[in-house]
Amino acid sequence: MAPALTATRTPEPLKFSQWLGLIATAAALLLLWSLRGVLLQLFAAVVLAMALCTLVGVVRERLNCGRPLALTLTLLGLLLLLAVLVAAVVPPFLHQFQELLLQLPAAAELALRLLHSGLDASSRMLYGREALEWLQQSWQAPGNGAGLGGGLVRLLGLAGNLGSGLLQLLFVLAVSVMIALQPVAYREVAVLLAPSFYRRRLRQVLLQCGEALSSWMEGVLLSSLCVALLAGVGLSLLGVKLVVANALLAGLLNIIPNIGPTLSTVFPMSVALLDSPWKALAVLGLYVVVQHLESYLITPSVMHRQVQLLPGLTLSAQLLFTLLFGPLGLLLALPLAVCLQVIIRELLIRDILDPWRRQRLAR
Amino acid sequence: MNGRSLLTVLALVILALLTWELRWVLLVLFGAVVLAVALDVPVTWLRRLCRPLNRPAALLVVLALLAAGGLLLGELLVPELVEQAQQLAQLVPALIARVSQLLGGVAMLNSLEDQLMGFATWDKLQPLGAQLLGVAGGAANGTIQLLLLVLLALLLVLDPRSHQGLVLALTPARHRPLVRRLLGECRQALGGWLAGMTISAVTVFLLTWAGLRVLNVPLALLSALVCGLLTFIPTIGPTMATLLPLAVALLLSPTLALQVLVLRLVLQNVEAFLVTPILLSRTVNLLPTVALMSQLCLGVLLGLPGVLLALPLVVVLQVLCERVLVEQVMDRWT
Repeated sequence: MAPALTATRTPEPLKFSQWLGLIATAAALLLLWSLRGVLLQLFAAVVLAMALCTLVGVVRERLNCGRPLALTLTLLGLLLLLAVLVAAVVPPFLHQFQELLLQLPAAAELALRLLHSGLDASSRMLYGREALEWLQQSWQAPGNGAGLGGGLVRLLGLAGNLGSGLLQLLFVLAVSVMIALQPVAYREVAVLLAPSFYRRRLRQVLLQCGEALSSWMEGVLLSSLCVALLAGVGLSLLGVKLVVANALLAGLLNIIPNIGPTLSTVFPMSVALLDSPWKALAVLGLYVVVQHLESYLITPSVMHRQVQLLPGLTLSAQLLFTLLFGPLGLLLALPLAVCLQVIIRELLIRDILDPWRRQRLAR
Repeated sequence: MNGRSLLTVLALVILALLTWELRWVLLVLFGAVVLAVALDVPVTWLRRLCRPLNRPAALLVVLALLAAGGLLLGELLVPELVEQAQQLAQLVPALIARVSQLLGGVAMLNSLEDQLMGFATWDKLQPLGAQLLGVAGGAANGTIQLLLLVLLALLLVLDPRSHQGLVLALTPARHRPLVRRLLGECRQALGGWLAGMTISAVTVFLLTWAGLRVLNVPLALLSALVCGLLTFIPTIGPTMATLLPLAVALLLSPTLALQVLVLRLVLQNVEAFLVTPILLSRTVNLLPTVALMSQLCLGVLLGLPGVLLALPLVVVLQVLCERVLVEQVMDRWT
């Protein structure tokens, strides 16, 4: 049994080796905390690698070939799929987007005029004078030159951010392919770093984590497909522009629960607002219906029971991981929560808390 | 908890904090150790070859050989470099003219230029001057650190046994056999890594040289040399090394630049996925992801020097983890 447990039961002074272990653990935790960005990227790579491994397993079962060949075939297939998707979606999207850009100034002017009149009325009601003019003056006070220079600097910063983001994406992709090439070797390294009495159990838990992740991904893929289909059909029935792009967006953003669907509503609503206000309302209604269908009908029937997360748990996990890790944390909140659920259930509850009560009763 | 263990724990915590504060010095020290091992490998080999040679003499011979090699390369390079530099001086105005012609078409850039000229007043340039001074100071600092590193490495190579004894004396007596074995294994792993990387760097150098010669790119030797040297820094080095021949080729024509890019990509991938794993699988058993991850992590923790020294550090850390953490702690924890 772990020394920490014996120490809590018998209040002996800690031995020197235990102090050493305590200090080493604290230092390791500090190091891990300062490396959390890299670790999160590693986790993203592991999630991608699990997806690849699932696909590779299917391919190997069908074709009965070696792992490298199956991985190559899978990657080629994925690339082909991506290319077809891009070729099918991008040209009409670009065309429609140009139209949208042409129409956007008119819509913006309309919205701005509405806003102006509202502001004017409210300010006259509150202060009795033209607050809007003052606002405009204060807006234009900073000189144009400095503003442009600052804009240039900000543009450079944006380019740098984009570059580092691309680099991170490349890193994640490379690591995930490397892990998918020999997953067993990496798992064994992780197992070796645990105490020897716990290795067999840890291997089981890691396998369960992998299973949970891949079944969660299957479920999400299916429900995203359903959402995309439903949204596409609804939008085309309503006669809103940019059907394919909007449906794809809805499907993609469905991966991020709670926040994603809300975000995905904004774009088709603004497109529909250009036509007429009632259409925007109809789109909102459609998305609400699709969202409810997804969360109460599709997801429960598609997801396996052990992978399902309670809605409150999902939201709190999103909040927590966004606070801890930033935007990438929000994106990875659900896979993290799925893994953490397995780990907490197996390690904390089954291995530590359940035997604890039994020992107490025995004593 | 008695006074003795409290004192020990306090000492350990202070030691850990001190180590973190002194991480730059320790990094320089580690670089010196890596360089010392790199010098020690040929020195030991030379001493085994001809018995009567003592260590300082063997070191002198190795250094003389290195200097001779450098001189030879310089002699080969300098005339070509001078000639190429003259060509370059002729090419650069044409290139600038071409680029400005390309950019002049974009109307927005004109206003940008005015903007930039507006920046170039005296009081706006002053912080830039301060920054430049800072960069110069940093460069001088780096040079001094490099000199110190080389000096330390030479001192370490001259008498490795007594330095090893110093480290051994600092450990508790009952752990000394283990530490002695660990030091030996670290030395072996580092030597193996260095040998493997040297062979792969030489391969890259020769292949790049041949390829650039065939493509008829100027400054082939220098570019190949840079590419070979930067092979020691995996992942980032080869990418950076591609920039020099690419820029030179871009001066001549875009198609040539494309050819150079393809050549470098092929060579880089052959090196990264074929030559290095085969060479290193015999000496150091590193998983490919571990190397990449370690570079990223050490880059976050220690900055650019961490990235440069990431691989040797990981080779040593892997040995330590395997022998101490896995075999001494985790395997015995039943």
